[in-house]
Amino acid sequence: MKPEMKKEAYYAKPVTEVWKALTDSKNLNEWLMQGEFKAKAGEKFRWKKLHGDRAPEGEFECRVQEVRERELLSFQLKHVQTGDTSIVTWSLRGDEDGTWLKIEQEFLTDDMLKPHPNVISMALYRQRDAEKAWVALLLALLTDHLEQLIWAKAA
Amino acid sequence: MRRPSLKTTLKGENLFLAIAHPIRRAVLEELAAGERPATQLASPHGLSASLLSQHLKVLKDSGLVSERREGRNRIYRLEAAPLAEVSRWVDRFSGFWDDRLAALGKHLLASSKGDSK
Repeated sequence: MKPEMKKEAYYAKPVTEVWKALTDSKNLNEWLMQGEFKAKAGEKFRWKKLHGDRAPEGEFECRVQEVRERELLSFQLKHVQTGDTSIVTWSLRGDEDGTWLKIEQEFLTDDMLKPHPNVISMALYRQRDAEKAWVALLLALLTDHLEQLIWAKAA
Repeated sequence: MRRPSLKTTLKGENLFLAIAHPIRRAVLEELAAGERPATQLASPHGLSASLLSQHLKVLKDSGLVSERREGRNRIYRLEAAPLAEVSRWVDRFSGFWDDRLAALGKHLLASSKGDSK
């Protein structure tokens, strides 16, 4: 699975402070979004609004996937209105002076997931590989189609 | 706004026909790297121009490939409209995260000032 988007930033703050800013609702409300959050796998929240002029509009359903204290946090973000889904992963690496923070976001496409859950991994792609992934997906769809024909004949 | 589904974007059963032949799959893979004139598509497979044009017609009918004229050449390209929608979504988030990473920096500064009060 290749991440779609990756960004990195350095903050001259200890990793514990950065972790808190990423996981504590009150902190998150100040810089990221309006809604609840708790860093516990399986928890689900409604984010009413993402902050900033360039934020995608609408509400998001956030579901926590993985939590490794002060190291990694990943959650699924599903756009409530369109169903568009992505997985956001924060990774933290602290040194004596500060913290490297990396964000990765993988985009899953609704239309591709629904008919063929077995090709989920093919619907995860980087922008520049989008067309190649498209061909790969079509080939997978063809394989499925042929298999169904063969089973239908055998039955 | 809803993204068009696979069904509405592509022309249904023709799609399966389009990708059922190994030559056509090879052509699709080549077009995935960028648009190509017909002459360039034929040579790696040792195909005659007429046989290739039959394959290209099937691909065009499926909506997967489009054709345009440029002088004496016909140029073919892969149509990936559903993916363009996804790209826009990704671009949107990219700008959002740039802003938020900056906002986090300000937030961290402000909160440590608050602590020292």
